[in-house]
Amino acid sequence: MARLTNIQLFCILLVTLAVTPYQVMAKMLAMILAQHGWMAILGSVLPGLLLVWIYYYLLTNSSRPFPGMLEEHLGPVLGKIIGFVYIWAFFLVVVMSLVLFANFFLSNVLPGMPISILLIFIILPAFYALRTGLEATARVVELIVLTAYPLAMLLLLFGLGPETDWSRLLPLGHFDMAALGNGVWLVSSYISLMVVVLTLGPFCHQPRLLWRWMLAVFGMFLFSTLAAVIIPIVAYGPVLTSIQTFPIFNIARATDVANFIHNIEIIMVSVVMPGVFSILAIFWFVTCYSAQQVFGLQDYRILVGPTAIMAGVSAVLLVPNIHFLYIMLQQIFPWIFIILFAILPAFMVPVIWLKLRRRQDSDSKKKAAPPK
Amino acid sequence: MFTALFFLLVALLVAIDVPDLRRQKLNKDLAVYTIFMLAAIYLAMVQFYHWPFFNPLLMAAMRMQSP
Repeated sequence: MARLTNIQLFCILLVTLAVTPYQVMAKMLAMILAQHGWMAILGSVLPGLLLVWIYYYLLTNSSRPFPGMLEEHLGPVLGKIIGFVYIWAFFLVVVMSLVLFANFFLSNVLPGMPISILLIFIILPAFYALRTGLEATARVVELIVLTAYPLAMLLLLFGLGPETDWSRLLPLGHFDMAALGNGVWLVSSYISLMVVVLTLGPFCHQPRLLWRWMLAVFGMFLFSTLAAVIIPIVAYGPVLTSIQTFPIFNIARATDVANFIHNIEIIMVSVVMPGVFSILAIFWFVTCYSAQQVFGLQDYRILVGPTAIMAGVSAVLLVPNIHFLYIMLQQIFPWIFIILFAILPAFMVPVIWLKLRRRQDSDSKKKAAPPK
Repeated sequence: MFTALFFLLVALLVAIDVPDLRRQKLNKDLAVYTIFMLAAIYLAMVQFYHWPFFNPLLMAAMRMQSP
């Protein structure tokens, strides 16, 4: 069984949580809440902490990695059926990452390039990483996060140029509570991508200490998403942020520090690319590993080839353009993520709690019974 | 041309994966591999030849888009 260090798992979780919101959350929250978008991130602290607790509870009370733990707690038949659904839910995140990457490149960096070529360029390294194994993938992700995350944050801070106007965050009052609820729900749905910890946690050296790393990841996610949402608003205002395709990229494009540091959008691209590779590789691994668990296969790696083709073709088939991608990111995927990655694990908590309690009761009855 | 390249890729993947599975007599693994590969080929054919394809995500997105 492959082993991950705690820092590797930390990096994997950070990349699964932070990459997609870094690219798209500013626009989506500006569309829903205008200048109050950052409040939705603060509002998601409580749901996020609840999710961390749920995942930690499931991890510490299960002997098998997800989705094997579904069979352990819900029975083999129901466990396999729900596990089968999860294969496709994880696969959907793979496709979503691919589409987002391809559209980011097509709209900003290489307009006019065939989408199939772009997809091949991002699928090939992830394919090789997965065929090599989880440990190699985790090492690459560790390197990527340790180098790219600080750079990504630095690029955001460079966006605070002379045109920055903090009053664009005002007025603080006069916001729609329903819109705030919608924003909190959206941010929470992307926090639920932390569900990969249920699959990867058991590979860790010290699963009992995982809560610290999960909390650290959640804290860093809050910080980076807060920065990624606030900085475009103070730089461009909420209206302009909501109509730009990728506001963060425009921040990098407009950056000019003392007429010395400028034209740094290529650095932004070189930060986003490995980030997308990481989230793709991680969810692709979880897809194949889930299929291995559900079908009882000997090795997950035999499925990497067929799923590579499926992912590449589905990325072109499922989402025709960036307009529909944003509708899906904002209104369809959050439903899928919340139901499968948050509500269903939350439903398992009372099931496990009842099972444990029943076991404790029967143990205490056995002890209390007089010896024959 | 693109179809030929695609089937060359499929043949390459099959040549890498299948002999090991057959040597170890992992019949269940081979069956699952075949089903996934057939699904991949079907999706590719849908894309190449514009076969009809039910896309629930796109249908939901079209309903949700503002007029």
